Amino acid sequence: MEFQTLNKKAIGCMYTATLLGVAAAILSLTFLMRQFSLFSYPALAGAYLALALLLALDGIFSPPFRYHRYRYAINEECIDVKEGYLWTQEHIVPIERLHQITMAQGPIDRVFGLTKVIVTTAGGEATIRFLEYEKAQQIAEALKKKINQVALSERASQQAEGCIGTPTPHTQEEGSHDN
Amino acid sequence: MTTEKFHCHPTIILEKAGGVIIASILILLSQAEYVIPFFQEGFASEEDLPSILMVLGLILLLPFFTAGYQFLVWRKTWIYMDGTTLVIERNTLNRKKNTYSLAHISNVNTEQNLFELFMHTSRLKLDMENASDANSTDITILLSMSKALEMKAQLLSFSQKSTVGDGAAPSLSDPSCASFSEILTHCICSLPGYYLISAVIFTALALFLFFGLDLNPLDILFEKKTTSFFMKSFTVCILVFSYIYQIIKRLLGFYQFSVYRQGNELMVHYGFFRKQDFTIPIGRIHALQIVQPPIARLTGRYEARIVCIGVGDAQEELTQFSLCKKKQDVMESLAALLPEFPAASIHHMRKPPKHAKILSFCSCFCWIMVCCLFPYMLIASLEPSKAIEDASPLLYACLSLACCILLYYLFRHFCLGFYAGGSFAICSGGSLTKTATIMPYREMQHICFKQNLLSRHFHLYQGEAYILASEANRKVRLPYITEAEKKLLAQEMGHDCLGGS
Repeated sequence: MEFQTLNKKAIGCMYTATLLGVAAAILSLTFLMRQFSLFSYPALAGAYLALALLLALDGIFSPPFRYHRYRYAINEECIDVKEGYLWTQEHIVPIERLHQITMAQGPIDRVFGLTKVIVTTAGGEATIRFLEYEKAQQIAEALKKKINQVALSERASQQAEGCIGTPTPHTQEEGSHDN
Repeated sequence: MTTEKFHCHPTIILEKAGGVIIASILILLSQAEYVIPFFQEGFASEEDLPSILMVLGLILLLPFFTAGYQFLVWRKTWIYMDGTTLVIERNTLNRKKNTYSLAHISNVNTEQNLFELFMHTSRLKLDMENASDANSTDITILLSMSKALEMKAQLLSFSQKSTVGDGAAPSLSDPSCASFSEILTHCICSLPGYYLISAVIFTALALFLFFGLDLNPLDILFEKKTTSFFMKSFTVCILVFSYIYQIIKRLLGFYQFSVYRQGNELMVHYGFFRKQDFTIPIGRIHALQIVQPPIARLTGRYEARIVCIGVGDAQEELTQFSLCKKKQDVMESLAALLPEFPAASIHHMRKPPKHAKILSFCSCFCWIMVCCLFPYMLIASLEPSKAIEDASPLLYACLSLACCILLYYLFRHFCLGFYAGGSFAICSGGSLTKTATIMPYREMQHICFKQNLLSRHFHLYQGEAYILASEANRKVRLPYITEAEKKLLAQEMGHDCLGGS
C-alpha cells in the first residue's frame, strides 16, 4: 500500500488553524484570570505563564511535525489515514463498509483551497484532511464508484440467493394522496 | 401490491393525550381550595371574573383540544404495505408520508406497558438497520394484540436478514422461564460497581448518624442543632427503602425472563409492568459481551449480553442474553443458543504484554499529577500559611483521589485481555466490572489505532474498534496490542488492508 503525503498548502492551513486556536485559548484564559482577579496570586500567575508558553510552543512546533507525519492511502480494499504529533492515530476503514462520503470545507480550508473528505461507516466516521479540492473530488468520485460496485455485487448475490424480492419503486412526494 | 390500509388502535388517543388530561386534573385538584370558594361565595370583584374564567376555561378545554387533535391525527394516519415497503401516511396539516424498506428492518419487537396490558393492545416496534437509530428512526405502531402478532409475522417474513445464517442452526430450544431464585441471584450478583460504592457510603453515613456525631443532614435543611432518634431513623429508612426499591424494580424487570432460539431467530421475553418481547435475527447480532460485575467476579459468575441494533436502544431495554450464573451454565447456554459466537474462547485471551504495565503506570502517574498534585500545590500556594497549619482536609481529599486513580488503574490492568481468532477478536476491559466483547471481524466497521510517545517506543497500540450498535456499545476499546496483532486485525477486517505495507 502506497502512502501519500500532503500538499505544501496544508502546512499553511495547519499553522493558521493551530495559531488561531492557541490565540483563542490564551485570550480566554487571560480574560478569566483578569475577570476573577487571579493575577494577584503569584502561583496562579506562574501557572498561567507556563500554560501560555506551552500553548505557544505547541502552536509553533506542532504543525511541521503533524504535516510530516500525515499520510493517507487508498487501495481497492481500504482507506488508511495516519495522523498526529505526540499522540498518533491510524484509521483503517474497509471500503466495503462505507455508507456515505462527504466533502467539507471550513473557512480556513477555503482560504487555502483545501477540502476534507469524510467517510462514514455504520459505526462512525473517519476524515482525510487537507486535500486539494480537485484531489478530494477525485477521491470522492473513486470511492463513490467503489461503493456502488460493492452495493451492486451484494444485491446481485442476494437476488441470486433468492432471499430478497425486487424492490418496488416508491415515491415520497407529499400531497398526492387521496385521503 | 398494496395491502389494505389500517389505523393504529384507537387507544393511542388516550395514551397520547393522557399526560395532558392527567396534568389538567392535577392542576384543578391542587387549586380546588381556591376555586370552590369562588363558586360558593361569589367573586370578590367583578374585574377578576374574566381572567379567572379564562384560566379555568383553558385548564378545562386543554384536555379536550389535545384529545381532539390526537383523534384527528389517529383518524388521518394510515398504515399499509406496498410491495416490500411499509408506508405510514399522515394527512394532517403537517402532511407526511414515510416509506420504509422492509428489507432494512433489523428487529420486530412487541412491548406492552400496564395500560396496554389492560386494553389488550400491544406496541409493535420496528427497529431499522441504521447506526444512529436509537429511537430516532424506529417505528412504533399500537395495534390490538392479535393484529400486532399477525403483522409481526408478516414483517419478519419480509426482513431479508432473517433468512441469513448458517444451515446448521439449532432447532427450537427449551423456552423455560428463569426461576425466582435465579432472578434474585442475578439481581444481587449483577449489581454494578457504582451501586456497591454508593451502598458502602450510605451504610457508613447511617452508622455515623447513629454512633457518630450528633448531627443529621436533615438538620441542615430544618436548621436544627440537635437531632432526634426519629429523624435519624427517618433518614436511614429513606436510604434503605431506596435500595430495596431498586432491587424490587430489577426483580420485576426480569420477571419471567426467558431466552430461546427458533431457527435463525433469538427470542427474548421478560418484564412485569412492561412486558418486552424481542425477536432478534441472529444475523443482526453484532457482538457478544461476557460481563462480570464485582459480586459476580467474587462468586465466579458470568452473564452474557448481546450487542445489536434494536435491543438496548432505550434506557429501559436490557440487552440481557443470560442471567448471572455459574460459568459452566452460561457457557453451555451460549454454546446451545448462540454457537456463532465462540464464547468458550475467552479462556484463550492473553494477558497484557509486559511493557503494558509501564504504560499503565505512566498513565496513572500523569493523571495523579494532573488531578491531585498540581491542584494541591496550586491551592496550597494560594494561602501558604493556612495550607501548612490547616492543610489536612485538602491533603486528605487529594490523597483519596490519588488512591482512587491508583486503584482504578490497578483493577483496569487486571481486566485487560485480548485474543484474535480465525474469524473473530475478543477484547476485554473494565475496572470493577470486567467485560469481554466477542466481535466477528466482518462486524467491525472501522478501527482506530492510537499510540503515544512511550507506546511508540514499546511498539504497542491501543485504540477502538467501531461496530454497528447503539451509542453506548459502538466503540469497543482495544487493550494494548502488539504490531503483529494490529496487522492481523487490519487484514482480517478488510481482507487486505495492510497488504503491501
